[in-house]
Amino acid sequence: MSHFLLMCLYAGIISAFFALLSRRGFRRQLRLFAMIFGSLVGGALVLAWIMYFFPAGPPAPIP
Amino acid sequence: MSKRSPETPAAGLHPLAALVTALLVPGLGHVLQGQRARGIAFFGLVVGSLGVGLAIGGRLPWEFSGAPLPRLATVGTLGAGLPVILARLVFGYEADPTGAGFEYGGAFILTAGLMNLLLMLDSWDIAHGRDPMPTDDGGSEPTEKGEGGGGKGQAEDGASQREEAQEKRTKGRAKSAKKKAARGRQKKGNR
Repeated sequence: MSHFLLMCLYAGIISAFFALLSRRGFRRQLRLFAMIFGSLVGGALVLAWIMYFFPAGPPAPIP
Repeated sequence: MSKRSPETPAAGLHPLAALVTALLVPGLGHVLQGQRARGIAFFGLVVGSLGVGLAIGGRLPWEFSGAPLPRLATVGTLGAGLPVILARLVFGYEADPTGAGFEYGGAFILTAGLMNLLLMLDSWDIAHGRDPMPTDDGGSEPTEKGEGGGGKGQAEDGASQREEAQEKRTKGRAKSAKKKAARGRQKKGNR
């Protein structure tokens, strides 16, 4: 599994959890799920693009 | 279901029992208090997150002495209850620190524990009869216990309540001004 897919899976679990915890009714839960999921994944993509312009640096040492 | 005051415990499950059952098995506190679908969904999410973490070889914190952060991580992970204890003590799970999923999986495992800690608090609140669910207009919709109120309706009620309070204050000031004038006239009459 790629990092991106794992990140989406993590975002999906968190979003579903908070949607179920904080809202009643399928439509309201779905809306909150979409908002949280979009914020998490979208925010991560935005941060990734910001970091893209910084130099990569040396590779991490193998422990 | 009949209406209950916010602080009255729910019939059938003591709040402490709700807390302990929610700790031991994710979602069980909700199932025992009548929210079966939610309880099962929560169980699936918490155990699913834990399962993904274990499957990719994630770090399972198990330090009870030494540096504070690993101990805090252990407490957070133990929040997932019996599934984590089974994984560690019965199945003897131990992750390889050089594995590709060690850090990422650790995030899934820790999150499962923290989610269940939130579920414990929610279960406790439900047992106490405090279970308002917010709606999109900022109010709260009625729960199985019959509590809750409208959002926009509440705002309109608030405005009319403010107007009533303003009227009362104005009337009160007029009354006290009349009393003062009457006292003043009395004093003048006594002289």
